[in-house]
This record gives sequence, structure tokens and C-alpha cells, in this order.
Amino acid sequence: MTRRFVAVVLVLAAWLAGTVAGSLGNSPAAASSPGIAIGKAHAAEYTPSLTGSKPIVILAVGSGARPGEDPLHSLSDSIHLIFLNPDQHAGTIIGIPRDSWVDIPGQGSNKINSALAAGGPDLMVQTIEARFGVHIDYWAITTFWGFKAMLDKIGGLTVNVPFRMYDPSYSGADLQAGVQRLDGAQALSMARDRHSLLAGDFGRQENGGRLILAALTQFQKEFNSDAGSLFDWIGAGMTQINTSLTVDDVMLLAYTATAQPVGKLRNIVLPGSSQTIGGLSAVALNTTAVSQIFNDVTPDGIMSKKNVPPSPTANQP
Amino acid sequence: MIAVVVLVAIFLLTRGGGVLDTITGNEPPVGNVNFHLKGTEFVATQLSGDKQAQDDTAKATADAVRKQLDTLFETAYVDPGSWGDTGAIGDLFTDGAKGQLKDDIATITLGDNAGDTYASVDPGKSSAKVRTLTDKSGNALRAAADISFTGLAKHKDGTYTEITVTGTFFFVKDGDTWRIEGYSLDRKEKPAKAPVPKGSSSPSAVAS
Repeated sequence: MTRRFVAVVLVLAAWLAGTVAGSLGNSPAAASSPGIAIGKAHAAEYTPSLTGSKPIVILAVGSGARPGEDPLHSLSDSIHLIFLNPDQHAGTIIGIPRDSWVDIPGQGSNKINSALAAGGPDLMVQTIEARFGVHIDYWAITTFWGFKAMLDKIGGLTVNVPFRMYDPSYSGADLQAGVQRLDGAQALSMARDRHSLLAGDFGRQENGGRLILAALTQFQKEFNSDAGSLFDWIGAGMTQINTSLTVDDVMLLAYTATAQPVGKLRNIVLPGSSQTIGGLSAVALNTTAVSQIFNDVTPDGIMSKKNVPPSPTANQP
Repeated sequence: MIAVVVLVAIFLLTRGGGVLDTITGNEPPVGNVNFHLKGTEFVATQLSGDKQAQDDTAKATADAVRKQLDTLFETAYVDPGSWGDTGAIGDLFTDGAKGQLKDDIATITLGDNAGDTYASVDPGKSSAKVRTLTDKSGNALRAAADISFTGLAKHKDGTYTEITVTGTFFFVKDGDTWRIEGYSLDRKEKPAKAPVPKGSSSPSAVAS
């Protein structure tokens, strides 16, 4: 069993996948804007919503801590930046390969996942901000066991597993392709599995994004069926996640997420190639492509189609 | 003759008040809405909290929320003096939600110009299940009430309908008051029979 695993910050990230912008102190407003049709599921519906055209950026990290270790000072294995644009009801999920070779402030060059271990969430944020030129508004970190507990608490997650995943020796993944309900352990195995993927960690990061989108889809479905279920999701998430978000922030994001079209969130992974750097097996990011991606996404949180990199799992049988 | 007068008097007194009110000029009394708490529970946001404190908070919050719901539906549905007046219920909502009330007047209240259609609404059975988000010390952070309100509406043409409002209200604490910051509601209305006059629900004895 590998010491490292991917634990995607699934539930919270899904909540956060609402339309968010500017500062979280913005006045609530109706969740609609010109050109975007968002239908009401019920005769009368209103929840506060974030407003603004400036994106909010949330760093969602799966910590590789084992029970007894400090999740905030361990190697991170799942790293996603979530950009959300409230006015456009759109956004982008960017998966960052955990082995990406970067400069870590005060630490020299190393894999990006060592930043959390070296300096906690603050250094992780500084590292990503410095490398990619983005401003991160909030961070949220969960663990292997927290991820599993969250999903079990909400009764599992319905996911369209894109291909057969079989990795009994490491992640424990044994999933058939297709739409299915995964319990916490199964969802975790999907989030962790890289050995059965041709693209390895690149594919794993993409699957992390898929799980985030699946969670958002399920969250909205349950909210439309029983709005009170929102508290179940918040309770399940907040008890298992370390975050810089306050309860008020989470509530506003969760309300906003109820009206976020899932189809307007793009899920990508930064392109690069595996190389030996400094004697370590690491990822050299494609500098040109990465610059294009962040130049495109940073202003409004939305990625142009022309800059979308190929899916790492496009050729997965 | 006396018997006839007595029978007429009994009829007028027991047929629901309409004729009597017409004669006396009195408005019918406004019924009280009384939400029954079907359940209260806390939803913890932190592990290893004080469960007793959180449970106590959930109960206290549910009671406060129930009172707000009583006030809301009495004002918005039962009291003819405030039908269709979102201003009368504005204080129960946050500023953000208040701004949305006009658009949802047909569900949040009996409706715009309700007085043109309805004569009265008698509250029926109403219930609420209240969940409270708590921190580990037992402080209430938010509350959600899954509600079901029923009322028997008498129309001006003498027909009756049963009104049901179901859904969820989200509350946030503002000082000592819980205000509604969000909602997701549906309203249904279906034909109903006239209420059985009080005191005459049993069939009269028939001499054999």
C-alpha cells in the first residue's frame, strides 16, 4: 500500500463550486444574471448568493496524513484550485500534479506536495500563488479518513466512473465503468487510484475533479428534493475538513452552489511530463501551456475552450 | 313557534359564523396558528463537542423558530387584515430575503389581492421539524425548519379549499431574533368540503 494517496476535498469543494466572487462579504442577491437561465425547482425559492464578476479561488487539498499525523503538516496528494465566477455562474477546477517541481518559498526547489509538510497551509498557499500568479482566497484540507467519513455520512455518492478501475494492491479500487453509487471507501479508492491509469497521477487529479462535479450534482439534486438536506452536507463536511472558511462563508457558498450549473464548471489538469529532477521522480510542468491556462483563468475564473489541455485520461481503455 | 325560533337561532349560531357575523357586523375571530414540533435535532459542525449543550440549544432554537413560523403564517395566511401585505411580515426576514418577498407573494402569503377571493382561512394542523447547526460549545449557528402548514380557506362564493404549504425555511440569528434568510416552498390548493358545524357532528337520534 503506498504511503501516499489522493484524498479529494470532495464535499466541501462541491459546496464551494457555487458562483462566488469578490469578497464573501458581498450583499446577498438573487442567483440570476442576464443571459443565464436558472429555473426554480419550487414555487418560491430564495437563498442568499454571492455576487460579482471577480472570481474567488479556493485551494482544496487532500492531505496524505495517516491517523496520528498532523493533516496540516503532511505531504499533500490531491491539489485542486477551484475558480468560481458568481455573475457568470461558471468556473474552473484545475488539478495540479502532486509531483510538480516548483520553488517553495524559503525551502528551495522541490515537489509541490512537500510545501504542506514543510510549512502547513500558509506555505502551500504561498507556493501556489508564487508559481502560478493567482490569489487564493481560502483553503480547505481533508484527510483519507475524513473523506471517507464525509461520504458515508451523506449516504455515498453517485458517480459516473469513466472506465474500469482495478488497483487492488494500492488504492483498493475495483470499480466497473458506469454510473453507480459509491460508498466512502469506494469513492476514496477512485480518488486515490493512479496505478490502473495510463496517465498515473495526471489521471488521478482529473478523477478528483470528476468526484467534485459528481458531489455538486448530487448536492443540488438532494437540495431540490429536500432543501433541509443542506445541513446534512454541511455537518458532514465541516466535521471532517480543516478550512480557513467560516461557517458564514460556508453557508453562503453552499447556498450559492445550489444554483450553479454543473455543466459550466470545467475540469482540467495542468499538463506536464514525468522526469527525474534532482534525483527525484517529478513532474516538469509544461511552462507555456500552464502560463496560457492561468493567464486565461485568473481574471474571471473561466477558461476559454482554446486553452483547455487534453484530458489525461482520454486514451484510457 | 318558539321551537322554530330556537332552531333558527341554533342554526345561525352553529353554521360557521358567516350569517351571524353578517347580522351582528362582527368580524370572525382570527384563528391561531400553532406549529407542532415534529422533531428537533442539532447538526454538529465540529467533532467532539458538548452534545448536551448542543441538544439544549437545538430545543431552544426550535421553540424560537416555531414562534416565528406561527407569527408568519398567522399574518400572511390567516389574518385578513394583512393578506398580501409583505410589509407586515418583513421583520421576520433578513434584508436580502425581504427583497425577494414580492416575487414570492403567492406562496409566502395567501396572495396579492387575496381579499378579492377569500373570505377567511382557518388554520389546520401544521408541523415543523427544526434542525440547528451548532458549534462544539453549543452555540446555534443556523437553523432549518422543514414545515407543513394547512389551512381551510373559505371563498367569497361560499366554496372551500384546503391550502397546504410545504418546504423549508432557513433561519439565521440576528441579535435575539431568528430571521428567515432563505426558503424553498411549494403551495397546493385543492377543493374541500365545508366544515362540519360545531356541536352537530353526531347524527340526530331518530325515533323508531
